[in-house]
Amino acid sequence: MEASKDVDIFFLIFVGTLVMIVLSVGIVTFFMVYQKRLLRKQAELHEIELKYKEELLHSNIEMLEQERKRIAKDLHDDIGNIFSTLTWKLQQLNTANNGTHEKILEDAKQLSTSGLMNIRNITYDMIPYGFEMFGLQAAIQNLCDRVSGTGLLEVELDCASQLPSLPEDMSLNIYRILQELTGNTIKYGSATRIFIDVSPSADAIRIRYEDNGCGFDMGSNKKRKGHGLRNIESRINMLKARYDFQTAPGKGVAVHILIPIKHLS
Amino acid sequence: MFEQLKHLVFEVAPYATLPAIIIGLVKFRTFPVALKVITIHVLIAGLVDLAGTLLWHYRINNLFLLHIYTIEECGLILLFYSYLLSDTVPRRIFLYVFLGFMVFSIANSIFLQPLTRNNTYARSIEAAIIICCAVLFFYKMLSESRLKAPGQSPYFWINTGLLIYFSGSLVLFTLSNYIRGPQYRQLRLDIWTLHAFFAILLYLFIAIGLWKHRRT
Repeated sequence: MEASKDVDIFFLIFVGTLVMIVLSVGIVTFFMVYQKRLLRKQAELHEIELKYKEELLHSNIEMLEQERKRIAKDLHDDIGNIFSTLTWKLQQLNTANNGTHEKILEDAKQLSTSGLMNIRNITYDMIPYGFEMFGLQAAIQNLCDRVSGTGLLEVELDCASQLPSLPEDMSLNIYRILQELTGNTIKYGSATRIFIDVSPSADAIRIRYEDNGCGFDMGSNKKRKGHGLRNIESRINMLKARYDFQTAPGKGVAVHILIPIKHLS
Repeated sequence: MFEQLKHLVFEVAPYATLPAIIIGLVKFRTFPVALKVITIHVLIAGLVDLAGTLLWHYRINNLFLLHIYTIEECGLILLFYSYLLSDTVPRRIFLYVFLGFMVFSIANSIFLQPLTRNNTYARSIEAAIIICCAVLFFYKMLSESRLKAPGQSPYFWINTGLLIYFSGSLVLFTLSNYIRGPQYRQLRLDIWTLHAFFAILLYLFIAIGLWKHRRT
């Protein structure tokens, strides 16, 4: 009887200790395996994030280069041509008859006015007219007027409430996003109507942009995303905003952007 | 073979705290508070061990040291975890647990297991508390947003040592109450050899943990 009790206690102690050790080693092993898996996932996410940042950087550099090329092209094609013609017209004054002087001067005046207009257009694209003086609301209104002024489409702007005073870089980013969106609609959308709604609240600015154009397939149109959308994404990231981009072939484009401004106050 | 192992454990056990004490004292000034607490605990454990050996040498019952040591051990390890788990568990909870344990431990020494006997009840409760803390710390490490390789963290090693030691010892502490008669002398000896082996593992893991700490 006593011997059997000894065996029981010994067995209990031995098995109990063994079970506890196996359990604790199991916990440690589980922790290490799980942590390893989490670390691998974290590394993968980090890599994706780095790749995304790299793509954004490339996209920004590409946009910058494109902008430089566009400005150079505009200066060369428009301003350069106008001044060449103007110089030629002024040289004509030496050889022309007295009767044609007035006509040449009139042409030169027209060329000069056209040159000034072109310079204004080029500088407008670089810094929107009245942006610094009148603020974001006026600049957006001006952008809409210019787009509808082309006669290609109708632009409806709903910006009834006064926008709060925002830092200049923030305002410029909002303006550039809308400029990029309208630019895309004109270039690719074949739309007849654009609707822009800018509604401020105490902690955010909500922007709704819609067009009735042909839309596109987000999945397959990588090239377009590479230029326009990445630039928009990059600016949205800078604003720490959230956005929702909805489009499909034949369905137009609808973009909703929520820009937090609570931290500014 | 088994006898040789037992002999080895008995030879090594008295010096088990030494590596952790040396590393801890050398790097003490560079440690964060939690590691300083563990170093102090290991130092006290070493001193208690030394005092126990001396008393045993002079044939004086040294078990009263274990009663005091149990309260110190639980207190300092809970303090260690209170720093590690500060953003998961409010620190006052650790204080309440420690106060509760201290009251129980003193009552146990007065009414249940006097100073001349092993305080196995208190040791079992202590083991259960520390196991909970160790598991909670692993859970906390997994839910952190910025993960690090576990082997590089000193806390991983120390926590692993504490979990293995207290898990292994829990059953030994609990069931050792049933082997008090002289007929269990050999079994008791085997059990405390096993306990000494777990203690060697614990201090080895603590030493690795303290060694792994890098000044940031």
